[in-house]
Amino acid sequence: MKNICKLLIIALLPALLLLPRVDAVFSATMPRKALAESLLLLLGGWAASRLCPWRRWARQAPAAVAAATLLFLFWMIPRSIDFTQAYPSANALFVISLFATGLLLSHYLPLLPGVARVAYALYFSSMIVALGLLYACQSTLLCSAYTLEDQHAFGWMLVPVGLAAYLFALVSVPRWLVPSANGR
Amino acid sequence: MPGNRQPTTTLPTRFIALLVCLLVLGCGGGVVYAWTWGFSAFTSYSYALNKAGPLPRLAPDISFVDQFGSERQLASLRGRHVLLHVFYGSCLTICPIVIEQLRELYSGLSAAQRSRLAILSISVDSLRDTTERLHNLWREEGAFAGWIMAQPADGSIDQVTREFGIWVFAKNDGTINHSADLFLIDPAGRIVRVISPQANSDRMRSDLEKYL
Repeated sequence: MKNICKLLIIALLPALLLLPRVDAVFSATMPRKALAESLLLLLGGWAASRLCPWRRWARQAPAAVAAATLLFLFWMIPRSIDFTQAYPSANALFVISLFATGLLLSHYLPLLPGVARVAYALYFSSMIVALGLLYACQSTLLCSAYTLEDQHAFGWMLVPVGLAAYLFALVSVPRWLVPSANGR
Repeated sequence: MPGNRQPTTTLPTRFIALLVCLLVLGCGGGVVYAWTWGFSAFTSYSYALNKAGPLPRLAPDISFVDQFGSERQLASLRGRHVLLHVFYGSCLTICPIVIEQLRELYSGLSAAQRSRLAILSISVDSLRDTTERLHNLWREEGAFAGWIMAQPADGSIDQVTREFGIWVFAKNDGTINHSADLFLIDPAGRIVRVISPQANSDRMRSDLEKYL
């Protein structure tokens, strides 16, 4: 019952972020929109998954992780970020799908074999660093909804996030590669 | 792990799992492919440009009201090269830079070259960029006879943006984000080149001299 209450509170996060006043705060700059809001939603989804008692289908883990990755990548495309600013429905989709991404990753990433998890984590974090460098070093405006300064600030903030994720993945390698008691 | 369905190792289960994974990758990849115009346009600017079609292509015959209040057609400029772009007078970022580059470019051309090139600057802000304001801007930028500062005839920039491939996005704070590309139209009325605004005016001039 306690978990259900926590779950409901976390599930309110997407609804809260869609409130016009809250959305205006996050949409004001690119780092807030594409980094702070995205991370908040991913973490919210991750936390919701930890609390929810849903059944996991281990065989579908690769498909679920692939879906989560594609969702995340889609919303990192400059054109997609522009659309969240131009259309409220696209913004709602952004919020819901990034929450779902966190949920799916938390739910299914632990079910992948250790080697696959390591490869995925290293690849995914490298991709975030590369994406950050792209946004930081590009001299032309990529997102029409924000300024070039915003774009560079976002890029330089994304790089340390990716590096931190990469380091975390490296530190976790021994733990992930050691077979667990249930033989996974 | 409580609540987990234990994986079976039967062939159909594995096959279904593989199929689902491939389906997700295929559908997701397809959506991204369509969204980015075949992985070639990741920004709103490049998507609009690609969607309008490959070059060279015939420029649409748009109607506009120039800085003197006369309604004209793009076709009336046939026989000369036309450098078309969109801007708005209240812009504090890219538009003043492009306008300054164009002024440098045009003033650096010989009289013969100028007679073969018209610049058509179309405002995306019909509300604020009135004929009077456009006229003042035209005077400030050197009052060149071949430089037309205009607004769309019907007040709507939609036809221009759609058919040329220009992304325009009006923000709530009054700023208007838009593509800053320059479209070179040849004397036959075909768009033959899209010039990026990153290029400085010297490079732009050397590019244009090939055509003039």
